Amino acid sequence: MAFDAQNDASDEALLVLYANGDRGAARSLVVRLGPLAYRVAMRMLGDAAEAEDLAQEAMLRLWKVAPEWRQGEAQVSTWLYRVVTNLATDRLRRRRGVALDEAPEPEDGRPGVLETMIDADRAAALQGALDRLPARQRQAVVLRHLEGLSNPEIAVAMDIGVEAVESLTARGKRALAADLAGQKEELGFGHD
Amino acid sequence: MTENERSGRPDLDHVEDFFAAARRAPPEPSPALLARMLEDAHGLCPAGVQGAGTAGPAPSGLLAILRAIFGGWQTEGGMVMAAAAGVWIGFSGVGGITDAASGYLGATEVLGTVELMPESDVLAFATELEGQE
Repeated sequence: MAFDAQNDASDEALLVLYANGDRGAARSLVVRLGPLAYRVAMRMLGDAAEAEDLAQEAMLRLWKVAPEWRQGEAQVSTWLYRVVTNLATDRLRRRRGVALDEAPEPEDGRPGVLETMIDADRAAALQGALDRLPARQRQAVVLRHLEGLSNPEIAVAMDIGVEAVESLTARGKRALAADLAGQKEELGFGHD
Repeated sequence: MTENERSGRPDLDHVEDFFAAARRAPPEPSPALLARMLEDAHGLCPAGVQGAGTAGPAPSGLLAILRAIFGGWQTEGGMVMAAAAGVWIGFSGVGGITDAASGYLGATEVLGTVELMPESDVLAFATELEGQE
């Protein structure tokens, strides 16, 4: 499906267009930001149904905030990271004590079956370990190491200082390393 | 949890391999979820200029049409101010303007008569021209 000239427009420009009644802009924003919202929600929550619900809720907030969006103050994607991770953190706090052995099964359909299976197994193992991290550490690690945000961007998204981000990501990464250490052999790291 | 003490650091390098694997296999949203997001967006889409190839309700009502044409409450505010000024001039007449002007120009300045509809001037000028012929 073609998305015409709006492919070149920034997220912010699309949001302004949407706020002015342009439904084509809404489509482009869904294509760009919908996967981001779901991906982050899934990595934070580890549950597909809950992640879908949360991602839809976050996008709903985006539509609602569009008419009052202040241009130049924040990137739309940073705003969305913030909303998704905050909503996810709230949910995690509400459901402490949930069963931890339900790591999601990654999807098939990528080239290289063996590599895909290894990636899928490692991703599933990582998801299981992420699920065992405290919510704030998980938030910081997902944004830093899986979404590729810089520490200042994460600081904005989490509304904390850069030093606090560094501390959270370092502690989170150390905890993951300790958690995953026992699974190195079975996940193909044995002969590295 | 089996986290090592600070002195005995766990192997952080292999965690990067897990991160890389997870980045290569990201969770993808279902088409149904994206469709629901788009449905929400359309349901909340403000009325106004429609995108290419899209259809939607045209603005209805005088205020909505004016807003669509001239844009925003600022314009409406300006129009209301201009209309109010016109009404005030109509009610207070020239005397009111003279009073207001004297505050700025000094009490000795008088504006005299102001014709808002100067047909009489035009008629007088035409009569004068006829008289010269």
